[in-house]
Amino acid sequence: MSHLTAEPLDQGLAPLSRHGGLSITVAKPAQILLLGAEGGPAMAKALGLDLPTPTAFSGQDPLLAWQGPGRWLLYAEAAAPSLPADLDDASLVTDGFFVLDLAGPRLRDLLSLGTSLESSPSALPAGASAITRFAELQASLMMLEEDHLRLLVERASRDYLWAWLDQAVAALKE
Amino acid sequence: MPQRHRLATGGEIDRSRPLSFLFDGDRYEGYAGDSLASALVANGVKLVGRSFKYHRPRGLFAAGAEEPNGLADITLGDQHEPNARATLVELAEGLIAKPVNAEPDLLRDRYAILDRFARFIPAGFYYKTFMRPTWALWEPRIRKMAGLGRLDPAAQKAPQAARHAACDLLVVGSGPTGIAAARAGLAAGLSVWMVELENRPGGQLLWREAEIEGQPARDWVSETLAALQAEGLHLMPRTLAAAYYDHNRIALLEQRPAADRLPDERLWLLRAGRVVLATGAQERPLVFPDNDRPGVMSAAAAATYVRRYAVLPGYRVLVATNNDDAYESALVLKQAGAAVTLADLRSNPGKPLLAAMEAAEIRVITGHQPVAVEGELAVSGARVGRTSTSRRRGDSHDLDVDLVAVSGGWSPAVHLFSQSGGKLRYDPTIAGFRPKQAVQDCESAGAANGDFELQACLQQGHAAGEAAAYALTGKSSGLEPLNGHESGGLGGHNVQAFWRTRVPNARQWVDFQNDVTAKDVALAAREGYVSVEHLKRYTTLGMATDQGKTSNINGLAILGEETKRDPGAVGTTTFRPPYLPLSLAAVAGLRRGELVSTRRCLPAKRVHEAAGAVLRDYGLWQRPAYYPLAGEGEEQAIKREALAVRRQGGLMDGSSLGKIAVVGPDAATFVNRLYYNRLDNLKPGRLRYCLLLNETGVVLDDGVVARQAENRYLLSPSSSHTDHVLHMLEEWHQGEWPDLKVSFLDETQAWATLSLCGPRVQEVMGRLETDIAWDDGELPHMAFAEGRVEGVPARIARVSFTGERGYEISVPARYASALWERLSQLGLKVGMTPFGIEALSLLRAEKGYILIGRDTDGTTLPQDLGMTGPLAKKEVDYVGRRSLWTPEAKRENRRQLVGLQVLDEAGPFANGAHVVEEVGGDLHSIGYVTSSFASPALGKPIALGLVAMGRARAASGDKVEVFHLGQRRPARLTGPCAYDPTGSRLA
Repeated sequence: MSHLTAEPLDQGLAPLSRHGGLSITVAKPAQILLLGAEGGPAMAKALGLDLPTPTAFSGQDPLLAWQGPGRWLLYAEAAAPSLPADLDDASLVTDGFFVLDLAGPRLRDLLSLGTSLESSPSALPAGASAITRFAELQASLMMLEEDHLRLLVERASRDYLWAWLDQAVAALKE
Repeated sequence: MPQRHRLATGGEIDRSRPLSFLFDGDRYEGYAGDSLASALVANGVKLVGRSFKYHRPRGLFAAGAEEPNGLADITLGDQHEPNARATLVELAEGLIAKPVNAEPDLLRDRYAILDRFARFIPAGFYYKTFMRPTWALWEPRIRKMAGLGRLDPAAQKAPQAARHAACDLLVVGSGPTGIAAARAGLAAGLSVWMVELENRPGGQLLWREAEIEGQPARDWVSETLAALQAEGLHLMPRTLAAAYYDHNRIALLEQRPAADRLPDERLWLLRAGRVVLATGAQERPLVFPDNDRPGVMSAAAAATYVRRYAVLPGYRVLVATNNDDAYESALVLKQAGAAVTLADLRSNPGKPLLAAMEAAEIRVITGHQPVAVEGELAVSGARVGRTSTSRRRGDSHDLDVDLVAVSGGWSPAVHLFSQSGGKLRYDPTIAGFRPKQAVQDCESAGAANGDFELQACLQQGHAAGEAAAYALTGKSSGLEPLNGHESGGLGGHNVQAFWRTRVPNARQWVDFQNDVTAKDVALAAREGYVSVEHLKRYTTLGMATDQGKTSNINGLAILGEETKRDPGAVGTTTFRPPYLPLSLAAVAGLRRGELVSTRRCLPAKRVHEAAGAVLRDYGLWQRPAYYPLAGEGEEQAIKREALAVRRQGGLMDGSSLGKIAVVGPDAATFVNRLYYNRLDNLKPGRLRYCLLLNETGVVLDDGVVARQAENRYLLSPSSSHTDHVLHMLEEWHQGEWPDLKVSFLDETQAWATLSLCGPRVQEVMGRLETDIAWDDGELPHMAFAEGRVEGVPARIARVSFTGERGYEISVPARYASALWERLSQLGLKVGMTPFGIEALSLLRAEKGYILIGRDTDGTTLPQDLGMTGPLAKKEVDYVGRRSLWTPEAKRENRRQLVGLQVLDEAGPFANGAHVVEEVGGDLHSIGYVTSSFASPALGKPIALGLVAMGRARAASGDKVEVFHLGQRRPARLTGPCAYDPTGSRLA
C-alpha cells in the first residue's frame, strides 16, 4: 500500500491561451519501458510484433518504437503488458517522460514550427516514428494517425515545452 | 514642384494613391509602388546619405539589394527598422526615414569636416595611431562615431516563429532564368518554391525590353507566373535567400506586407532537394576620380528607375561604360526624355551599337574614360578623356550633365553559390567571377552563371529545371525550352576590363560604404597585404553592410594590378551568410524570454517553491540554490543550511544526478574499459567512486557507479554531464567495441533522488517505512539496495557528498514531491533542514571533494587530483590510460589539487585568484584558487586550488601568496580536506 501520493504530470499546468484548432492532451501512459539490444527483439517476439524500423513503430497499444541502435521503447497506454521472464536489459522509465497527444488539422503546421524534420503526410505518414529535435528538445514522435501525434520529451522539459506550445500555437493563427 | 522627376506615364506605380513621407526632416510625396529610393529620385533628392568614415556626401548608386549609400533608419508608427536600404523599402504613408551617418542632418552633418583630413587618415590609420597612449582612451569615442543606424530600444518586434519546410526544387530569383527553371520543374511534377527579394517578380525584365515566346517580356512574366502558380508554384516575393547551409538547407527571410506598419518578418528554414540559383548579376561602378558624387549612378539602376518607377534620375546624362549593356540603359534614358552622351572607353564598340545610338540621336564618344566629376552635393558636370591624363582639347571633353550613369561590367551574384561551398573561376570574357563545379545539389544558371544573353538565360534555366527533375524523379518535363531575345537590336554583352583610371593623386572610390579608395588598395599592397583576405581586413574593403557587392571585384582587380597578378590569381574573399543583413529578432524567433534556452525542472519543483526555495539554473537544470527563512539573506541562509547538515541533518534534491544503466553480458568488461577505476571486481550491491577520462587522460566526469547485479551497472554522472556521458558510452560502443554485448538505458528522469545527510538522519530513516535493511551491517557506506520505501519501489544508496552520513533514496519521479514532504515531516524532530546547491558546494569543498570543471580544468589528470591507485594497479586498458604515461603527464611541475589555508584576517580568497611566486622581482602565476568559502563549521575561510607541484609543497607546508586585483595575501598550502580528514563521520 502506497503512503505516497503520485503527482500527475498535468498538475499545475496553466491552460494554453489558445489551442489553434489543436487538441492537446497530457497522456498518462500505463507503462513505458526502455529496452536494450536483446530486450527489444525479445519483447517484439513476446507481443507478436515486428521489430520496428527507425522510421516506423509496430503495434498500437502497446506499441514498440526504435530509439537508437540497439534500443527500443515500449509504450503501453491502457495496461502494462506481461513481460518475458528473462528480460534483463530493460528499464522501467514511465516517469521519465512528458507525453503529449496532439491532434487536429493544424498538426503539420505545428510540426513545421517545432522540427526541421520534413513533416508532410508523405514524409511522416500514420505509423511513422522519428527520433528528432522538437522545440530544441530531444523528442520521440509517433504518428498514431495522419493528424494525431504522440510526442515524448524528457519529463524535466514539461514546463519549457508547455511555454513553447503556448507561443507556438499562438503563431499558428497567422 | 512635387515629384518633378516623375515621368508622365509608365512605371509600376499607382498614381491614384499618393503617399506622404519624411526624409531627413523634409516632407515629400510619392506613389504606392515606389521604393523609398524611387520616391527620392522623383523628388530630385540627390543627397541621400553620408559615408561611414569620411562622411562624404553620397547619392543613390543602385536600385536594388547592392545599394551601398542609401541607408536610413525607418520609423512607421511605433515600429522601427534601423539601417534599411532605401532601394528595398516600400514606400508607406507616414513613413519617416532618417539617413545614417548624419547629425543633425545630411547638409549640416557635423562630421563632414572629416573629409578634409582624409589624407591624414588612410587605410590602416587606426591600427597605427590609436595604440598610443592606450586604445582604452580612444575606444569609447570611436565607438560613438562608428556604427550605422541607431536601434530604438522602445520599438518592439512581435516574435515570429521560424518555420521549417521542405520542397523538391528551390528556385532563387524570378527573372527569366528562374521562371524557366520553375516551369520545367513543375511540369515534371516537382514541388517548387521560388523566392524573389524584390516585391515583384521579373528580375532584369523589370527594366529590359525583350520578347519571350512572341510576347512582350513583362506580359510574359505575369501571365507565365500566374499559370505556374495555378500549377502549384509556391512563389514568395519580398523574400531574402539569406544563407545556404549544408545539405541544401536554405534560410529564407520572408517579409509580409502589413497595413499601416512595417512588414512582418518570418524566417523559413527550407530543405530543398535541388536548388537553382538564378540570382542574376550586379552592375559594377567604374573607378575614376570623385566617382562617389551624388548623381553618379549605375546605368542599369538609372534605367530601372525609369522603367519600373517612371522617374528620371537626370535630364542631361553622361553614360560612361566599358561594355555593351550600358547602350540599352542609354536608350532607356533617352526615350524618357534625357539628353544623353555616351562615352565608351573602348575605341571600337562595333557597328550595330553605334548605329542604334545614331538612330536614337545619342552622341557617342569612343575611346574615352571618365576622368573628373564637377559638383560636391550633386553632379554638375563631367570630363571624359582619351587617357587618364588628357587635358588637351580634342583629347578630352567637358560635359554639362546632372547624372553620370556608369557601367563597369556585371558581376554574377555568386554569393549563395559560394556559401554552398562552390568555388569560383575568373572569366576574362566577362571580366568577372563565375561558378565552377557545384558541391551541393545546386546549379547556377543565367546571369548568376555569367551568361547574360536572354536566350542563354532561358535555356540554362530550363536545363537546370530539367536536371533537377531528372535527379529527383528520373523524369523529364516534356517541354520545349523557351525562346526569347532582347529588343532593339541590342543584346551584346561584350566587356573590356577596366579597373581604374590612372589620374595621378586622385581619390577614386572602390568601396562606397566603407570609404575605401584605389589608393588605399595600393597602400595595402605596398605594405604587404597581398592576400585578398588581408586586403579586406586592412582596408575594410567589403566589410560594410553591403558586404562589397559593388566593390569586391574592382578592389581585388586593383590589388591584382598592384601585385602584377590577374584577378583570378588574386581570388575573392569568402562570401558568408547572410546575403543581406537581417534582424536578430527574426533569427531568434520564439527563442526569447523564458524560451531563450531549454530548461529542465525537478520533479519536486512544486514543493521546493512551496518551501521558499530560490531556484537558479545550474547548466540546463533549474535547482534550489537555498531556502531562505523570512528576512534571511543569501549568505545567512547558506550558512544556516550548511551548519544544520553538520549538526543535525539536511535534505537535498539530487534528482538531476544521472542514472544510466549499463546492461548486458559484457557490462563489466565495458565499464572496466571505460572508467579509470577498476569496476569488474565491484561486488553487486556495492558502490565505487570513479573518474571518467577522455582520450587525452583529462578528467571528464566523476561519480559513483553501482553494481546492481552481475550484468547490470548503474552510473551516476554529474547532473550537467549525463547527456555527454551517454553519448560517450554510445560512441565507444559503436565505434570501438561493437563486439561487446551491452546496452545503455537512461533512467535519469524516471527516478527522483532525495538525499538525507547529517549526524542525526539515522533517526529519520528509523521512522521511514521500508523493507530495505539499511542498518550499517547490511548497508554500510558505499552500499546499495533495492526494495520499497513508504510503499513505493525504491533504491537506497549509502553515499555522501557532504562528508556526513548519507542516504540517497530514489523513487519513481511521480512520488518525488510526496517523498520530499514525508521526509521533511519526519525530519522535523531532529531539526533536519532542506538545503540547496550553494550549501552543498560549500560542504563538499570543506571535505576537499571536487566539482569537475570548477576544481579541475581542461588539463587536469587523475594523478593531479591525487588519485593514483588505478594508474599504478589497474592492468586492463581503459580510456585515457596511454595519455597518463606521456612526458607531459609526468611533468614534475603539474598543477595539483591542494587546500589553501588563509593566513591573514581578510576573509576568503577570491575564486579564480592567482597563486603567485616572485622570481627575480616579477610575479609568476603558479596556479589559481578554484573554490573558496567561509566555512561556518570551521569558523574560518577555506579554499581549494590547482597549484604547480602542489602536493609536494603542501607536504612541506609551503607558504605562498594569492594575488587578486593588485593585492597580495599570504596562504599556506595544505591537503585538500579541511574538515574531518579521517572520514570518521561517514561511518
